Amino acid sequence: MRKSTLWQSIVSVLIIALAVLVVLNIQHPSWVQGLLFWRPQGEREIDWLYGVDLGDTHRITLTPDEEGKPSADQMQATLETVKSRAKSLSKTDPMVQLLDDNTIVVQVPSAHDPNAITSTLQAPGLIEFINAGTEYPTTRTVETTLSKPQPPFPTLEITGTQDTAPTVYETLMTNNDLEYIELRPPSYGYYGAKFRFKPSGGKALIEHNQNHPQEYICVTLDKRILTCALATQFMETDLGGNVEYPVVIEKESAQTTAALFRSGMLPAQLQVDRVEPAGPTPGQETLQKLGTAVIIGLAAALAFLLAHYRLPGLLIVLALLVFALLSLALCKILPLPITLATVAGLGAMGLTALGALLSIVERLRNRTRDGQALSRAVEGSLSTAWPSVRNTHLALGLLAIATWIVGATVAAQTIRWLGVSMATGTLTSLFATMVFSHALIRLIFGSEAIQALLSERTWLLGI
Amino acid sequence: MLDIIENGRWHLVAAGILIALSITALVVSAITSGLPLALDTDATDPQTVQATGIAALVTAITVPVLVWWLFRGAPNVLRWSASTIVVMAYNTLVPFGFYALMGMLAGWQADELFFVAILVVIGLSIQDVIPLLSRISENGSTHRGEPYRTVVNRSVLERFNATLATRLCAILILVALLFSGGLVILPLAATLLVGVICETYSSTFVTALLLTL
Repeated sequence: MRKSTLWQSIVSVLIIALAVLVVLNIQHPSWVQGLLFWRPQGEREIDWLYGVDLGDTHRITLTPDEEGKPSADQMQATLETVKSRAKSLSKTDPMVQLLDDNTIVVQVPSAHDPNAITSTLQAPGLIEFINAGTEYPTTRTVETTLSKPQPPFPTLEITGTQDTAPTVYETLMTNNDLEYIELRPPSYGYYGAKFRFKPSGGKALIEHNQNHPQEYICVTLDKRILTCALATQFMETDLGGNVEYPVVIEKESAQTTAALFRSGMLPAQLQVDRVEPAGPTPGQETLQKLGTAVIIGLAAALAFLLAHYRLPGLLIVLALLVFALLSLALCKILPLPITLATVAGLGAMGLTALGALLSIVERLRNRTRDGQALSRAVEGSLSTAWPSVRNTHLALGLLAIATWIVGATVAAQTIRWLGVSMATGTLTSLFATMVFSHALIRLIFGSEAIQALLSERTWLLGI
Repeated sequence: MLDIIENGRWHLVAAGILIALSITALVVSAITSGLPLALDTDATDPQTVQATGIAALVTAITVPVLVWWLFRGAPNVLRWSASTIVVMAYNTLVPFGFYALMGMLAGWQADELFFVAILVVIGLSIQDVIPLLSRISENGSTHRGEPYRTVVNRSVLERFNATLATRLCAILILVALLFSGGLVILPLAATLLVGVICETYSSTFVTALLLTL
């Protein structure tokens, strides 16, 4: 056996074994998750990610609050805020559209709790630092000197007693005074969150602390208290004079606060008009039909290849299965969302792999038909097919990268994922056709027993 | 050896009729509905249309340059580059015309998946043209002294089986999608099917003619 064939075989077996491990829906060993070094710690679970068209989603329709009539500019700004929030709720791209100038339609893929989504989308996103005085507040929701917006959380309950008129707390600072919020790795269900102030906000906080050294400052999100602390105790000033406020917040609140801060306050108050299952058919139903149709079509195509090309046909089928396996594995680990666009992109690259394999097999059949010895015909076919396979993959790789970059640049997510899927398919097609199939063809046709068998039964070569 | 180029003008006429029909469908649609292609504005981001246009344009510029670079030693290489653009444009125009026709007959509106299908069809065109050019380049070296026209004809015939087998597999899968994929997938599968049939024909007959004009 040639040394290169041995190496190609070893690499193929290892990669295929790893791909099988990834594709299986099992609890993956930690070392497999550890291979996903480009993902942050805690986000290395290996699972399918479905896009809007193939995942079960809800279509949420939001309209401006009846009291307010936002301008076109406000509505556009609200749309951008909602887009940013919807993105923070999903691992893949949500669909957010503005219809009829005052209706926002949102679909968040793979999110099963529409109530949680609507709460985040509607939240005004107002972060306040309030002066709570010398006593720790007894209620979770508070009133502040900034009267609006009202809290949108329908499930929240006031936990304290309110026999007397509620205290109205003084708002010291808001989102506008913050530069960023940094989350630190979670521990015991809590996040360390660091609020960094803009210079003006930091200056105001320092002045406040000098005048009120023993008073509490609470951080609220839409009038709900997230955390309270004595400011002098926790306030930090870095070497550059920047003021920071590190606190500990419940994990979910911290994530929501950071996401809402990043997306900005909602310029117009929104109300939920409708929540309904998305699409003419639910995504899972489409996925099921797609799966069934692909299996039927693929079975017919593979049967044709086996019937027409016989033994080489079997090699083509095996190489195509390897292409499919590797593509699915890459979908899971990148992760690449499963959408109709990505399925189309991978399907097109599957055809490229098939074309490349057929170009090898057709040459093999022609050379054998012309009377060449099998071993010479194999080597001749593999070497003469290479320029064609290389050039095709190069040109398609160029199209894939152009599509990917253009899609990402103009924020057309469907086109971007099509490009990514085509680029992924180009790589897996190259592996299946140039590494796996080369090793397999040389192993099978290099065997003396197979050569003897084929010399007697040439019909096995489809001749 | 079968001479495909000899009967070339009939293939050119057939391709011309298909282009004329496509353009007619687009024009009639533009006259009746104001747009050559009815766009589903609810389900299509304007960015998707823009990105498809730019990606197609970038491909139309870079792939011919790549063809010129890959086969720079071959005779008539500029014609090869030009033929690549013409074939890609032809293969793209026909699905556009088909969709415009379906828009008028069945109320189809171009959504994001239509633009995905267009880019995939461009990819499939590349997938067929580049191997043919590679085969012509290879045969040009192995059959030195043979007239260029004969080399092209020989290459098309040698590629014919592989092209047909690949496209037959694609057609089998797309037909399955058409009949059992459901309503959501139907327009995508139909557009791709039209694209695949069109480029199977063009890669065998139209490209050979363009290369020898």
